[in-house]
Amino acid sequence: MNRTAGIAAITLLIVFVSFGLTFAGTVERFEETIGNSAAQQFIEQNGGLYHPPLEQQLWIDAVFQRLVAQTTRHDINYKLRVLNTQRINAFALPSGHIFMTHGLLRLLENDEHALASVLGHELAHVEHKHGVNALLRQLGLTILLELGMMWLDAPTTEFVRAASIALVDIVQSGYGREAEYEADAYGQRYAVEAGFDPMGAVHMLEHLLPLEGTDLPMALFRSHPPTTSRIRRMESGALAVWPNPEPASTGLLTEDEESERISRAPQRKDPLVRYDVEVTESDTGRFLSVYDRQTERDLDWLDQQVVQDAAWSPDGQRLAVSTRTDPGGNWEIWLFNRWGRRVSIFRSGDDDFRTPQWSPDGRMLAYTQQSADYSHVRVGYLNGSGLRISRELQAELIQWTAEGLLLREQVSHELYLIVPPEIAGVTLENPVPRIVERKRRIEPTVIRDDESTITLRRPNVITP
Amino acid sequence: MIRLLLFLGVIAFLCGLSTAACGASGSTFWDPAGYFSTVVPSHWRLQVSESSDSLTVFYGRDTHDLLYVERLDPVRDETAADFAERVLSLYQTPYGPQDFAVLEEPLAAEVGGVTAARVVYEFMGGSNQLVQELRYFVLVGSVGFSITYANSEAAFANGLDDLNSVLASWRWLTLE
Repeated sequence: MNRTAGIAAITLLIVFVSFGLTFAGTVERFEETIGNSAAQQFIEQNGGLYHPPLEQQLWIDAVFQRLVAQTTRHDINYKLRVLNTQRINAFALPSGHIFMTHGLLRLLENDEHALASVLGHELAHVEHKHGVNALLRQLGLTILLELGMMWLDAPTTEFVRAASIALVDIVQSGYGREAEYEADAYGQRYAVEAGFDPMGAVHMLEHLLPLEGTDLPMALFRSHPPTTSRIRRMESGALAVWPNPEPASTGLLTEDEESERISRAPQRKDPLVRYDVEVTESDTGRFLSVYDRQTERDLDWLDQQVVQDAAWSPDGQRLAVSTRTDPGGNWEIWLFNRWGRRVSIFRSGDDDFRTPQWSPDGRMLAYTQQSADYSHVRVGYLNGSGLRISRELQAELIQWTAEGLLLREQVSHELYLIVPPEIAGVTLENPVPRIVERKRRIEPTVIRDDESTITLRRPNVITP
Repeated sequence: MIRLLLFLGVIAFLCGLSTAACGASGSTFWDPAGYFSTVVPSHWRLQVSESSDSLTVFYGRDTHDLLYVERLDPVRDETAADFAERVLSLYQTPYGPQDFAVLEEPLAAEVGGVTAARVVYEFMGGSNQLVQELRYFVLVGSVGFSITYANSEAAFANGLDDLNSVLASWRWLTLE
């Protein structure tokens, strides 16, 4: 009896395992059939395909291929296409059809890190079968019958068509909050592993935030969770890839080398050599002194306001200044353009924000956030929020060196170093020469009718 | 007196000859990145706002003519002919210019003593104008150069002599 039961159990096990393996393959075939069919419908419903200029297409492909190399589903042949619509969105269909809109491409301009975050997100949808799972949930039991038919190589055309329509609806309304958050997390991971900036996603979402309440055809906001919530999660994800501060090996350096290493003077040198910027001490405080070599004049960009520190961006286009408007107020970080006009207040609030230091590539600004109880070192994008990279350390920022960020622990005065995540820009291995066309200058025709009336006629095309 | 007149006549003849030669004369353009120099006929104007470290653009006196040189680094093709073939195959994709058609297949040529590939093609330009381009592809080590003369189909022949004169005075500074 026992022997018979054993044989029966083994036979059942073999049947279940072989059915399971076959069925698993059938689900993949189902994914492919439905994905391919839905992709065609999707293109037709979204204005057809847009073909970017060759140079841009090669750049998009280079970003995409670096991300695809990080994925794990080797049964998928990923294809990226741009839809000819000005709506701002991106989509993923089962079996590797990735779409982004021309509107989104225009918005991203040439920010490859933001592009990588978008494409990484969409790849994650396919990798984690969000589309096919959502379809299976929606179609319920009917799909089991159809999968059976597919197993027998006899899927019905009506079913494929109906399932494709359902899939297109699902994709356009989003895969659901949890799936979107999961795609955000994995997309960011693919981007980091492919050498893109982990903050690319945050930067992109912050760029979109002002558009959220407008009347633009922002289908993106209908199909995804709230942008602020996504930003918070992505910031946590970005912080996770920054390593912890490690004690800096200062013993190898002489005292002179050490003082040179922690000197912040280099960032006060104007990279474009027009302005001499100094922070000068007087009885009443520290002030910013700016001398314009071209006009040979002293300039007062801060109207005799006290300053703590100042630093030029590596391209010389921005001067970051830590200043405060009244003696008892908090230190804020202001950004000036080259003409001395304040373009933004980078950081302000209840704490003191001091010691601005630019990253060598000029993409980020590091600074110290200080209150009576704590002192943190943060890094932030020009229009983004700041990541607290000093972690548990009570530290102040010393300098952003070529090796990394140098911090000083406040109690022990020990130096610590944080090496930022490695970021590699996209270089086209085999570039293609561009096709240049003559630009036309367009000017209106001005007609002076009488002493007081001037008429402007529609522009004529004039060759320069 | 006759001798003086004769002398002045010879001087005037030589000056005339020199002016005729100067019909194709212009100013020497030195590549800001230090790769090449050439003499560009004086009626071609450098377009500073459209040029960069790797791209140099000149406008001629027609409505649509331009002359531009682009440096590409690195180019992995083995020969200038391979470089030209690869680029042409990409121009013929949907991402290339509209209505692109090759008029003259790549031919072996020489620019400043370096082997080049010369090709002529046309496409529909942005202002709905059929544009023709004569492009030379050159490889100096792993650095690729593309030297292009473009004009509307109707006026294409107008600038060919200028292009030839630019190529005749071409020098590769990195090879000297």
